[in-house]
Amino acid sequence: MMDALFSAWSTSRPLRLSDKLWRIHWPVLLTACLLAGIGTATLYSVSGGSFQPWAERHTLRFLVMLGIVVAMATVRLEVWMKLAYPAYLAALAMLALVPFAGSEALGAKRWIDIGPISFQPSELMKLALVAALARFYFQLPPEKIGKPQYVLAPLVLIGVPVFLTMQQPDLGSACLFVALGLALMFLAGVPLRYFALGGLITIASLPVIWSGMHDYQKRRVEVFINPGMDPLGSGYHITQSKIALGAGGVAGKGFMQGTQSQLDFVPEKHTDFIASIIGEEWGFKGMLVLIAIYALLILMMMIMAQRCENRFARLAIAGSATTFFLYVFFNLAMVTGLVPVVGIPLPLVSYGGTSMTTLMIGLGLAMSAYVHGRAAGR
Amino acid sequence: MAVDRDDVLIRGAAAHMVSGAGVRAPLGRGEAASGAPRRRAEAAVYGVLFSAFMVVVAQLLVLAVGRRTDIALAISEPVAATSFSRPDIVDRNGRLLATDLEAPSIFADPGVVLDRDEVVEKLSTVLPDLNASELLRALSDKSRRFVWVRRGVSPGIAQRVHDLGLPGVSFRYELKRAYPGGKMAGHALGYVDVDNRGVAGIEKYIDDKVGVDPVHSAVLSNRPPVRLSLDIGVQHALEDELDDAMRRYHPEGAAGVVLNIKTGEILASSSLPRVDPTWPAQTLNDKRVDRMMGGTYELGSVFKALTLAMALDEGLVKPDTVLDVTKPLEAGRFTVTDMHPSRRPLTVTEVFTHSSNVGAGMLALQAGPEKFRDFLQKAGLLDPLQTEAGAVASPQVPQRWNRVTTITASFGHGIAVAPLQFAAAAATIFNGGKTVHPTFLRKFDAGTADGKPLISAATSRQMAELMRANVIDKDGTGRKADVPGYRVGGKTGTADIASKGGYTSNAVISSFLGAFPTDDPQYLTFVMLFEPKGIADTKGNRTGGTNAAPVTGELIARVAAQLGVAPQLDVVRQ
Repeated sequence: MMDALFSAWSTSRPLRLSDKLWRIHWPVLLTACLLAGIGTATLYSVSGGSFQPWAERHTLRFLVMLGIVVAMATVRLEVWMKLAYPAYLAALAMLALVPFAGSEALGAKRWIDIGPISFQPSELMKLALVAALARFYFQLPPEKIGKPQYVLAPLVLIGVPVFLTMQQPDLGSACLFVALGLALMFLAGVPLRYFALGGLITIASLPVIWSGMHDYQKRRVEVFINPGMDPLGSGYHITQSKIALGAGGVAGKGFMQGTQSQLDFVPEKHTDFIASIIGEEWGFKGMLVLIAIYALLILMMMIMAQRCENRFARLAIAGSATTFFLYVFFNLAMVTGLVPVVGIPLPLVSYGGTSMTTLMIGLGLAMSAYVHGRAAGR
Repeated sequence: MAVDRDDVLIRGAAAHMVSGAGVRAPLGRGEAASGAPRRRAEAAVYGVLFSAFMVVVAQLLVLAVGRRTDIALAISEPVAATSFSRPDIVDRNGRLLATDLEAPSIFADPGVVLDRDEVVEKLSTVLPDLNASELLRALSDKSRRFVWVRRGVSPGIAQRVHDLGLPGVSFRYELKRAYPGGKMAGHALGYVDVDNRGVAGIEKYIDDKVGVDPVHSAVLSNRPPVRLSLDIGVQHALEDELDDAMRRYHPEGAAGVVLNIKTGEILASSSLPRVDPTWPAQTLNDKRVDRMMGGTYELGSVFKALTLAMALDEGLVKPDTVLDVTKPLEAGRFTVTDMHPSRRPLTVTEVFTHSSNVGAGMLALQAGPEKFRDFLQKAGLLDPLQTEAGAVASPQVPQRWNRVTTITASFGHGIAVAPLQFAAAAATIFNGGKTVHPTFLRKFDAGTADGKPLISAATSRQMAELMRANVIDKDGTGRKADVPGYRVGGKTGTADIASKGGYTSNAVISSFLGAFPTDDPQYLTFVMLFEPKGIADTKGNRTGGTNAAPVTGELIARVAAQLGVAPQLDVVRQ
């Protein structure tokens, strides 16, 4: 039955390579380039006007990933559909293995080493979860979407990796899985009453969650509520970031003029807290432009999704867009002190290979879906 | 909408895809429903996106515009920088006077400390002056994650604390100000607080005018060093001679300054007992006040140099004009007499060399209170003076200038000024007549004095000659200050110290104002001894001529060559 499903999809005249390249949504990739460029400029500024140690590697990494995105766009959609469940299971297995085989960094076991490559299974899971949920709803008849047992199934798909990442412990990724999964379920058409019910259950079980949290996680939440409680410890990130943003004001201090961030006051200034540098140097105006660029990217991807007829394609694109949105929102909310420090980078701007890889492969998947998920000639 | 693809879609997707309207519906949601719910779902998606971003934008706006009111920011302000890096201080030749060192600071994390009694007890063995009860209290609050134990300790102490092996006790490197010269020039240099911010002296000037950089680790400053006018060699000679004077004459304190009279640069300034900039608490001790700048004193006869300069410059007298000083001077209920009353009239030169109070009073009266007051004002003695090392104690001047105050001020009583301020005014008398502002900073355009003219160059020359005469005349009061070859000129001062209800003649401030070389004066010295004791060498005398003058002589003998003054040993004494 499965084979028939895929072959039916692929019976139509195959697209030629030139068709595929023509069908790529180039404005989205251009916007991604713009964001990576902003990242390069900011990393150049953070290192005091030098391409070392970050700006150059950031640029190279992005260009390599850009090539991979274009290459992925030419891969037929059914390849991804076939890969969805196996990838999910593989990611799940690796997540389960982390406590035993993982290597530890900064007090948390999140990495797995395979030969010279070390990566975080939770990153792979972000992609696999999108693909698996898209795959699930691709096959599910619409009238069944609202049935309780078919609401429970995707919840299990989401819940298992959430449980496993909580063990690492990686609160940030766990939250992201929940948000990403629920967003996809909503987009797929799960009735709103389930979300309302879920919200009530969550509020009721908050005390249980609290007692199950690690001390450092509790501390982060406490300090988030009152950063003055521990200005030198856990509250340090947030207060320093806020100071930097405040120092930038509306107009900003100018490129390479940010003292708060350049003088090492802001920790993780080249990765998770890079937005505070942009805020200090370009001010509120600069942040507004940055947000506008992200909004444009996400909006274009949503439109990409709407243009597709294939449900898997739509949800894959929407999932990728949602990932972008969640990264941007949680990062900016963290940097501005709206949510606790969760360790989520700013997409394509922050330095760091892992998030760049995840986001760009997600973009590649979305692009493949866009290229192949539409009617010919459109 | 291409129909052929729809066909594929319907079959491929188990017939649940709807063509046409479904394409524009958001992502499959509401595909089977009518248009209205579909549009609602669409609006919900974009609404969530938009409002999420608006929340962030609003928060950014609050941070960008409302920064001064944000409580979190206010709380964290002092934390922003844990320390400040400071530029070095060097003397005029670039020799180091103050620098930042990386020093370990000890802190404890109450959350990690296992047994706080043990921690405090063991720390006390290495740091005996530790406030044990206070540390114990701080450590008992487990919610605090950071408690300073001691900041800026020596590497040796840090090693011993490290060797105690106490969990929760740790180190971080901070900047600590170090003064390689120890107490040298301690008063002028001032000191810094525990956060390495300048509190007094040149250190405060650096914070206010030069700039320091906030750091939160031991990052050394890359600012150029602050170059002072002080010369370590001259400073050392001055302090050494004052130490010697302390041993010989047993005064309560001593002070001295060496001034470039053309530029106002202070080459050396010292006040004994000294303060160590490393131990700021010393400055709170009254006895260690900076007597050069921090206190005002009635300086006595050295003031006559100013009185005579005015009289000569106003053309009231000439050096050989004869004054009748045989009779005491009546001033209200006071009678002004000389220590050794002359039985004959004296020339103006002799009034200076014999240090006649009556003569000085007569000269001031000839000019009149107004003119005398104006002269002191122009010399800069009546207004507060500011230097890089801080404000000089404000002069205490007569409220009304009448006959009595004019007479007493003419020989340095009834008017109290900081010695540095007096030295700067006296510099004017010898540098050709231009006022100078005393400075602790090296001047690189060192030329001639360019201040406002106070007296003529000719009067200035005459004053230098009078000063020289006072040292070489057989009955001059400054004979013991002479140094072969360096043409020293000078004026003595022996001021009774005011106490409750009058003056006590057992306690004096003896001083000597020196200038050299008198054929073209370059430098001025002012040495003061506070309450010196009479000793056998001085036949029990405590006058400036018997103690401050020889100290000045020895000082000039040591520093003249360093200052580039060539000795002229062939000059015949007149």
